Amino acid sequence: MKRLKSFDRKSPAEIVLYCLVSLLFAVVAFSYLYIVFWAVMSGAKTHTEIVLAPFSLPKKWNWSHYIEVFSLLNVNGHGFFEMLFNSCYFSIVGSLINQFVTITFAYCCSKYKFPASTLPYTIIMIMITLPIYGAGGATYKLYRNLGLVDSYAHILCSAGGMNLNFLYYRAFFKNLSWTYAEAAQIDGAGHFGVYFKVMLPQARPIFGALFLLCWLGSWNSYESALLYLPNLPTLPVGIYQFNTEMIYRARLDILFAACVLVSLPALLLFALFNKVITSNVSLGGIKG
Amino acid sequence: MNFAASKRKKKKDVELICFILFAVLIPVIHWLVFYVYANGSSIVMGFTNSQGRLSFENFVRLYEEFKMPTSSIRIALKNTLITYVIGLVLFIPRILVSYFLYKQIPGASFFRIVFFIPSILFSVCVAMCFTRMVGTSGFIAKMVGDILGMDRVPELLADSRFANYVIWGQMIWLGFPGDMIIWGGTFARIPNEVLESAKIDGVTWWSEFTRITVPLVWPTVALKLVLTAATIFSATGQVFLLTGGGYGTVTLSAWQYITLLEGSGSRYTSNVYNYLSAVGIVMTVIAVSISLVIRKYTDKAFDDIDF
Repeated sequence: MKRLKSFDRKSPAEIVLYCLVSLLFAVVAFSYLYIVFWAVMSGAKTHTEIVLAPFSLPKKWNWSHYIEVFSLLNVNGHGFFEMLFNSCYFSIVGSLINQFVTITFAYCCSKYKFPASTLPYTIIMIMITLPIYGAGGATYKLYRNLGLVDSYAHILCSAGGMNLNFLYYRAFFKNLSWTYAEAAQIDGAGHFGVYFKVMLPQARPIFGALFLLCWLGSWNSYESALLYLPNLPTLPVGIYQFNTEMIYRARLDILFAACVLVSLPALLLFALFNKVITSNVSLGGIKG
Repeated sequence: MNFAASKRKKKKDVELICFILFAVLIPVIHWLVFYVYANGSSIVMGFTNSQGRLSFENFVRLYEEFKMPTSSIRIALKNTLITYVIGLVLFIPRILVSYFLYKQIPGASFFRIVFFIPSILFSVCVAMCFTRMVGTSGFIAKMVGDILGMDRVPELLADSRFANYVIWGQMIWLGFPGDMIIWGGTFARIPNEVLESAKIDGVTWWSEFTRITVPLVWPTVALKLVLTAATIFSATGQVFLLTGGGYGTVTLSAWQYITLLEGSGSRYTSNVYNYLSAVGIVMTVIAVSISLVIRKYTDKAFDDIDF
């Protein structure tokens, strides 16, 4: 019988250990898959079936609910497509701005020597290890005074570069040889040319990985959107508000169908790119 | 040096200054406005009373509230600390999850994708599904009712005897895989040759893990420990989504968020945001002290290992 690759050159004790761990992991994995299946199934049931028999299979699979989401998911006059637009705008454009500002800042601080070029690294290390609590009220007042509440201009809040990702980009550029830049400079490229045509393209894998993580966080986040954008609801906010109104509407089926539909893009992207993400992001390095 | 060369150098210098300004100006302005100014204002707000004058009124109020055994702030602190301890206890199993996936146990590729489901799905959706699953029509509530011999099926999330346990249980269940991106990436960077030569020397699994793998990834462990320590007062389950902070489940971060949300509709937030800032100042002082102590010890641990 062909031995599993996982068991190659393993002692019997290790094989037993690996099997037990796999079994435990399989139980946990099954429970996670069950949530997904349960949400998909609930989206195809009727509201009464969900309330009275939440765990049994539907008498009839009503896949039409997944189409009805587009017209019925409406909160305070905001429809599905408006929420989808808001979600895409704040998560995709916001993450792109955030990652571009951060990578450019990190490149400049790691490859150029100018007064205080090493200061951002020190400040970020202090910021992430010694956090300040309770600034929510002051931040809300600041956003309101700057007109960033309930406004598409709220995206400006994404244009920060002093964050954990700065450390990843800085480490990447520190390990990237400057000879590429020198070769480009001999060919007549200026500082902008070197960055945009030579250095930035080489950072594509790490940029892609961190952009995906940033987008995922932003796409799924409801806290800041609920607080700062109550009249420009994103999809998580819309679903949260739809759920609160559900007591009067009695359409749990639509709610769960919406949950499944809005989770699909993130699930698909992650299944496709999880290797890119894990091979490009680490923290703290390796001793050696 | 001729005039043309000098002109070229001047042009290059100007371009260099332009590039540095292009790269630095936006993040620095953003940081000054949204971090320095916001946190500075928050400190001032903490020392401002309802009449807008500087005072210790908010700190006195916090002290008075904290003295009352049933005050929300006291309950919130207790829940936060329990949640934080649960997170700390899960620290090692979470590293082990990524370690076993890195060791390619049977089904590793499948687990690697499925274990991301809780962080990929909308937390709003997960909370809604979970609420229905532990609801009175679900088998979990019926099972609890049967075990405890209760006449009626208990509403687990709407009963202060059970709500916290359900939230912590959900936190452990969904947080079991931990930060697989960070740990997965870190383990993947361990040089294969090191492990191969250890294998040839007949090193057992346990020795390989404790004497080779852990020391190699120690910088990440130390940094993660410091980062976890720093977030002590952010520790929370899905309190806002599952109970809205009711039934004795409120944590400090859920309390802050709910207070912010309630005050956000009105232009005049009276003293509530100032009080929030005062609580934040106290939390910051405590968290910074803990973080500095842990950092001191992890730094010492760094020194014990040769680079």
